[in-house]
Amino acid sequence: MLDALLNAMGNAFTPEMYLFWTRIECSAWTLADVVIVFYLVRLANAARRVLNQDPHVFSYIILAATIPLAAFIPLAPTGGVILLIELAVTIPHFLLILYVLAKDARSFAAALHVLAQPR
Amino acid sequence: MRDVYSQILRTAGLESAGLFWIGAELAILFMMMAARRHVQTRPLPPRLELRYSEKRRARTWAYCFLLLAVIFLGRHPINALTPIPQDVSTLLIGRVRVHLAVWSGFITAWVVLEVAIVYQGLRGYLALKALIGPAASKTARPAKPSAAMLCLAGVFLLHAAAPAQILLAEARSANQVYYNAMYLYLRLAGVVWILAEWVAALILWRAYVLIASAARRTESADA
Repeated sequence: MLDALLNAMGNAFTPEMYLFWTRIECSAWTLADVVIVFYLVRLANAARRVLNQDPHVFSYIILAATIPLAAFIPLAPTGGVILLIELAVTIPHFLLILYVLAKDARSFAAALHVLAQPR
Repeated sequence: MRDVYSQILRTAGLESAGLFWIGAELAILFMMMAARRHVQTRPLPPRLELRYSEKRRARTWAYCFLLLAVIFLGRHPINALTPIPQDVSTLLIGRVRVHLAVWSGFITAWVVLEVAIVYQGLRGYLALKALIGPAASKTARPAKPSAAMLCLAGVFLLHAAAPAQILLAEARSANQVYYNAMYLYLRLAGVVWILAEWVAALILWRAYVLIASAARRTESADA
């Protein structure tokens, strides 16, 4: 039975289908990544505004620089190219997320304390 | 011979990237858990301070991650130093299968970590809403979403992981069928990943709206 299942799965899902679905899935999660990083930076900036601190600008520039690369994913000819684009896009995204979280965790806590005060 | 060494370099590079993503997800999960705990603390502390248990958790996770990285990446230098046998194709096929098994494990780890981040994010968002939302009750405890979402993700992952477990134990089929079935598992895991990512994006957007409107209310009250 396991052999039959394995063979059925393997025969039904060809390398061409894998590449087709990889393009679609990769585009979908990369777009979600862009939205996540964008709103994380906006969230950090909203907290920084409450404390009268300068907003992030460089983070937006880094995010914007990854968008043209991400737009190329649906057109990538091979899985290897998709992987290279993914590396070039998601590594800056992850580093940005970690940077914003590490840099602004305390600012966010302080801003929240201000916003939570009864008025 | 060049094929053997280029394969080692390629798989080591790819697995290093995979480990970077796992490490980054672990760090994000750690920060989300600390942030969620902070927002749920009453009275709300003015500063975010890590507790002793959180510092210990950070150390434990870091050690476990480093150990896993050494185990997964350590086999590549060993492979490079092992004498190459006559039957190179069998050697390469065997190593590709190990790499695919490792890669499917990495993908499962990303999905589990991402779902955990989303779960922590959702709880944090609900606590934030109870704290500074328009109808916030300063003493109300945040609603705790049921663990149904995690259970659902767990059941899906178990179902999705089953083919990989079969594949790990079953190496009798033709190579292409094996690869195709493994690739299908990767794409199924990708569906859960996409869902988790979009839920995370939605939570962040809502959190931003919440903070921005609370800031506007505060500004107009202060004016």
